[in-house]
Amino acid sequence: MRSGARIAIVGENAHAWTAAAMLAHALRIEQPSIRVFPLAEESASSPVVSLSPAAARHLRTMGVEFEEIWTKTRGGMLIGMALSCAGRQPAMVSFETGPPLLNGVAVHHYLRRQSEQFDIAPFSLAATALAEGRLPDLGHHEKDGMPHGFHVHERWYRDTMRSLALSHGVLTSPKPVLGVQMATHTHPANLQVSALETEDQAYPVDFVFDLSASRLVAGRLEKDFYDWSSWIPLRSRRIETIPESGVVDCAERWTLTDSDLVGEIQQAEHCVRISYLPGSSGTGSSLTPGRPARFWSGNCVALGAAAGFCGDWILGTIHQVQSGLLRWLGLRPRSTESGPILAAEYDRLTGLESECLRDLHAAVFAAGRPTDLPESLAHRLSLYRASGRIALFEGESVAAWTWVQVWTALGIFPEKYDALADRMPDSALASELARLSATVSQTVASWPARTTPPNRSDSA
Amino acid sequence: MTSCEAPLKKIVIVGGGSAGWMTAAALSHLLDSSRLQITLVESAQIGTVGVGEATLPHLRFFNQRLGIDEPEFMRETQATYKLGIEFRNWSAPGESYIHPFGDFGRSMNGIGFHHFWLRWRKENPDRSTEDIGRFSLPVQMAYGDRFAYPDTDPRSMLSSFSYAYHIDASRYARFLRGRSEKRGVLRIEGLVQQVTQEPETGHIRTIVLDNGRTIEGDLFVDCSGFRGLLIEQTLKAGYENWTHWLPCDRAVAMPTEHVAGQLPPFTRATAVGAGWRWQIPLQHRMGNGLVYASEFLPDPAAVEQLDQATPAALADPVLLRFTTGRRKSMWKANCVAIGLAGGFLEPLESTGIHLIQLAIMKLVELLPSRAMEPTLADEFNRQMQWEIERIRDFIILHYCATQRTDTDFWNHCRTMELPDSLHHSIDLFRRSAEVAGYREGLFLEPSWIAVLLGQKILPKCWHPSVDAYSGEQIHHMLAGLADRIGETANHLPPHDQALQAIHTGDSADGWRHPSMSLYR
Repeated sequence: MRSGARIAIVGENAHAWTAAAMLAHALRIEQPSIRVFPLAEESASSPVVSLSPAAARHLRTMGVEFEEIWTKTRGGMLIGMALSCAGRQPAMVSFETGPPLLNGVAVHHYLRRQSEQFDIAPFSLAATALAEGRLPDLGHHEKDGMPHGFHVHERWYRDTMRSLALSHGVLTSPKPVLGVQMATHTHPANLQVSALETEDQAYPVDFVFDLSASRLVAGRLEKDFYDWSSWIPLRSRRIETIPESGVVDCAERWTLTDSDLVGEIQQAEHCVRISYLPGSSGTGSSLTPGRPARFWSGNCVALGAAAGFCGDWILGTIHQVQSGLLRWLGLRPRSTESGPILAAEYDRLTGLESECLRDLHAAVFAAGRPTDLPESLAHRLSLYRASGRIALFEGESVAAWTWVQVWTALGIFPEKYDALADRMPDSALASELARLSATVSQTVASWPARTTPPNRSDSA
Repeated sequence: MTSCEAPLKKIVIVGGGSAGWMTAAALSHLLDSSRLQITLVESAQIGTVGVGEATLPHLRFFNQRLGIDEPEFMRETQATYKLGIEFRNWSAPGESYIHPFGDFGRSMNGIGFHHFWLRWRKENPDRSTEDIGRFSLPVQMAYGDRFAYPDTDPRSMLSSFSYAYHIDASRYARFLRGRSEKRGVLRIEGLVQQVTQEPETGHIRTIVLDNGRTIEGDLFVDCSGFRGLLIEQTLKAGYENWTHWLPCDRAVAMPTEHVAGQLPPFTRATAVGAGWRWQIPLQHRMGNGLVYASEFLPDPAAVEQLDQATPAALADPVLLRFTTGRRKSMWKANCVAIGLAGGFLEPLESTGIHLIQLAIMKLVELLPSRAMEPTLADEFNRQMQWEIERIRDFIILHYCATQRTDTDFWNHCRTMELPDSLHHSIDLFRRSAEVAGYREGLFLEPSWIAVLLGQKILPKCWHPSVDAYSGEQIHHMLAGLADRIGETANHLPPHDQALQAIHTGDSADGWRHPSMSLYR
């Protein structure tokens, strides 16, 4: 992006300020002019933002250290999601990559060898930590091998990103964007935005990042949308804030019932309850799960809500915004003629990622609706059931162990296991599994109890 | 306890050769042979095709999984080390480059090295003919006839490459046969005369040999070569023909004596009028061959061409016919096709043995029960199709990215229609210097850069972040790096000295750290 190029960011929510901060930081040498445009009507956002470990690590590369997230954004440590489906006991879906392989074979094959229905919790630091009420000190997670993210207050997080962006020279429009001017003399297949209009001014733009749920700009350039609502049967979201006891929980708790999917994220001052409903909600915002046919059209990239919706109950959404921006930074235009082919590559890669995340989030509905699944998810499920194998697709952004955790949480177990697991004698297997679970127990036992947020004088 | 209620009891492998014996060796080593009878049927009347004497680094991992020590393997197969492939005359007569088992330079601030190289080259017209191989340690080692094991310390420059072998594939098959039979694999001599199938499922029930012997199996592995005795002739799996993209359909092979003092640690692939010629150095001989398109070169002329190009022949030329493509289902019913029975992509990038190894490992991972779960076959076919199509694109790239106009064959290759995926990859690189992002597959970004740049697809632009550096900074970085690479390569032992160490027992143990990567 040439010096002085005009980049517009549409939206003023946490996603938009994440984008502004990232772009300003990454392009600090080129110094384009980056301006954030508020919307006339910003859709309701959750008062809590979930940062996956990858999202938190990326903030670190921008100079926002974990301690800063911890204190400035008044966050809590996030080690995973406790998922409860169809009346089953909650099971942990953590960010771990899983226990080490035994003779080249994943542990769940050995567990299946021992029992038709098995428990993976004793081999998970996160599940054990949640059960034991313990957490590592901030900064010790890497040594102990338990990746974690944060759940943070949306307002504080947004302000942190905003401060970072402004410190890098990002500008803001005092008035909301109301309209879009299209460039004339462009080919119909490569429409371009020339300016964004506010009440009293038109701002010329070279490139736009649209993060609006209404797809204010992206929708002018790309109207086709792939509807996934038959696989992710949710049409509205309602967010409630409930006063709570002051204990910061380290896991989001999601429960799927016949009528809704409800997540509870407990923070110091309150508990945030997010309800996804299959029909419209009187007080909530409406949703259409799916994705646009193209994420990058002309000179506009759709991110965040403008890039569709496939769920946020396992990995959160900030990392999707970061991932899209990192991809764009790698592929950003370098000449007029390079634009369309770079956009095609961006769309190919983003599409792969998006469909992988769709499968992951749609999976929670899979146990009850096995006949109505995306082909790729149906294959993942069928293969796991038949063999305990995890089918990984090109562009897979979800770790194999995450899939094992999700299937286990849903009560789906393999009928068969890896034949190589038969090579270990029974006594050796019992000893190896005992050793692995003992290592987990001992590690967790060395962590402090988590009755109060550790290592933070400024308790939220 | 077993992995399922109805575990396989009998696996029958039809066909010996590299594919058959690699399969037998791997299954007998990796699976519980006390519960499984593995039978291999082969006939001395049917010659085997050494599907490739040049290999990829992954073979080291395969051997290690089978408990094979490198020095013994190299002695038994008369192997030499391989650091890459030199391509001569591909982009134009007189041009050459090496596709190494390693990366080029070092990325800086997340920007691939080749972006810096492109700018450096453009801003320094005196460098315009220089190839990016100057910034690759394995390329410099190859040109200097040097070899040493890679270092596992990522800070060492010696960690920036991997290596493979040139082997005598027939000896490798014999070596594995010995190991397999020791582990209980039953070898039966005979020709398959008849195949019986279950009437309801179509699954293969038995094969009947020319001596009247009937062999039952739960799972059949078809290693019978191009004809696909079980997978095609019996199960009619179908074949996707790729001749329109990969028009070579013949190979003629002929071993020769070594030329004294020539034992390069790389394969040489020299483009000729209607195909290309290979040279693969082994300890005891030189493997030679000509791969060509019969539409553009008659068989007798091809034999004569190879004969003239390779003096001191040790045997008569052997002619092979093939059709490039892949079996539509490599796993159908209770039969898995491995090796040439599953498809053939021609030997240009030494993928023959790799694809055998890959199929074997996927079969072990997805080993079915006697119920032959269809989803396991689906997964096997999905993964293999994806791998083969990615390799196909990479091989086609060598043919289509040429400036040669000297023969009808090269005019055809230069102007043929391409698979959409390859068209996208080339267009993306040409216009932006970006390599299409694939995380999986055999040939990743370093390989694509080697061949795209080697075949003179030279983007005029580079990543915008490179412009944040001054020309002087870039020149300083690149010149220093090239010097360090050159010095490092020059201080390594000669290739023939490294080979002698295998026989004297002085071989270091750097081979004990194989990885599944082509590049380190």
